Amino acid sequence: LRQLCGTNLPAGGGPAGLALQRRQTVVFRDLTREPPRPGLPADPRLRSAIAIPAVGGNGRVLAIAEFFSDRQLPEEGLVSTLTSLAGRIAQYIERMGAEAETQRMKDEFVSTVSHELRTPLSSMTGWLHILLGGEPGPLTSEQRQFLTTIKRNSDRLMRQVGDLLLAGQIESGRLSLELAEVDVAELAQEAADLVAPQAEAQKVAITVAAGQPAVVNGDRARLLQLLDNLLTNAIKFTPDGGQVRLSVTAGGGRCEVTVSDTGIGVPPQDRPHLFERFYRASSATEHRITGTGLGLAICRAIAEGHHGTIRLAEREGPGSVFVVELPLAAREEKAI
Amino acid sequence: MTEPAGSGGAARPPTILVADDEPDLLDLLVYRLSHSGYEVVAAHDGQEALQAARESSPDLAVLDVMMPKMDGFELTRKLREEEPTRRIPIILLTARAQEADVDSGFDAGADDYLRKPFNPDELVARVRAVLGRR
Repeated sequence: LRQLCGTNLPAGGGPAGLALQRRQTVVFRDLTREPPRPGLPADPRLRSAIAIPAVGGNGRVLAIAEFFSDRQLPEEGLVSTLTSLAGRIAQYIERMGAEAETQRMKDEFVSTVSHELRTPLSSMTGWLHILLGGEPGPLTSEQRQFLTTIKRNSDRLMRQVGDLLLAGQIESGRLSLELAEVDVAELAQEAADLVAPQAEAQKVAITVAAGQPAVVNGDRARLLQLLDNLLTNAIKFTPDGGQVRLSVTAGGGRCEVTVSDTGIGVPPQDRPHLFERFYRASSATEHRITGTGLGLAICRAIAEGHHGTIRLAEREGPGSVFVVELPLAAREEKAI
Repeated sequence: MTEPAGSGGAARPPTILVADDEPDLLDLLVYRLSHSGYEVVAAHDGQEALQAARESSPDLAVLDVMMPKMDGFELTRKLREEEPTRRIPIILLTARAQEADVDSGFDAGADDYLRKPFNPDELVARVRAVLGRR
């Protein structure tokens, strides 16, 4: 038996070519009585042939299955079964094609939007950086303060655009990770340094407890984003004078990252939905805390992309505790 | 902060070709680099950049990837094909965060790349590093 996926078949000639031309099933019951021509095998042992086209809704032939046999081909019943099966295959191919097209348009849209939003943002943040660098001239403290506010908000917008893009990638299952050995303990310190200005502005104290190295096989930028999202959330949901604690421990083949705060916590009714895209906790809206509802969904996708988990730990008293577990690089196989 | 680039004070400052189709970003590149002590030649698209590269034989080129008429990859390949521009070090500015784009940049012959949005100071650091390598 021989099977062909006909893409560039010449019309006419052999069974597949005829099926392409006629857009219907072609059967040769006795090949020995056919004059030799291109498309027909010269092998004298072959007795019969059948070619079944999968015809799409618009009459286009999407695929052809062609079979040759050294025996007499079976009766009409099986031929019509195969033909109707080909019809279902055609429908399937068309549906796949439509889905791929939708996905392609979505990807293109997201990348266009991202480019259109990022380009002006790049210009804004770049010029602000230069103004704040003091090169064009000295700034009064008030000017500096206002420009810093603009810069902070531009950076926030930039992050949101990045989050939206990432959410799109996650939804279509194309979150790509660039894996390398990453020390999560070191990364924790870096993440804490990144959010320090924010914490200071909100009078929230950050402590980091990450003594032992905890090396995982991961994407450094994405893991940093995970930690940054958790810390930013913790700071946002913690009132003035509160505390945020980030700790990293390693053991048993796993690395455990804990972010705890003394903030307003997560109401019980919000807990089951916390990691869903665009879900915003009722406490967030109540306290007018800004956000897109993407941060934790992204955290979960990043953790799971690293074969890890993220959860909200039960806690007595105020505040919330998020726990991320990731397999350690060296003992990865033992961790499972 | 803005020490003249290059080694000796009296030496001619290196010339840098910058190309970006976004006028505001192009201004930003020109400002940052010229205030860091470089001679700067600006181009608004790939075609113009190719012309400028042939005429002004810059010591380095900073090229945006997404430009009309000729994108940064194609421009890089063209510069690498011609004798007078063959050895100009190239830094690509890529807006797309895809590693595949970075690979095609290096394949085309770029020396380094910087992802947009970039910190202007980092650009200067990269420029220094690439010039120092030669």
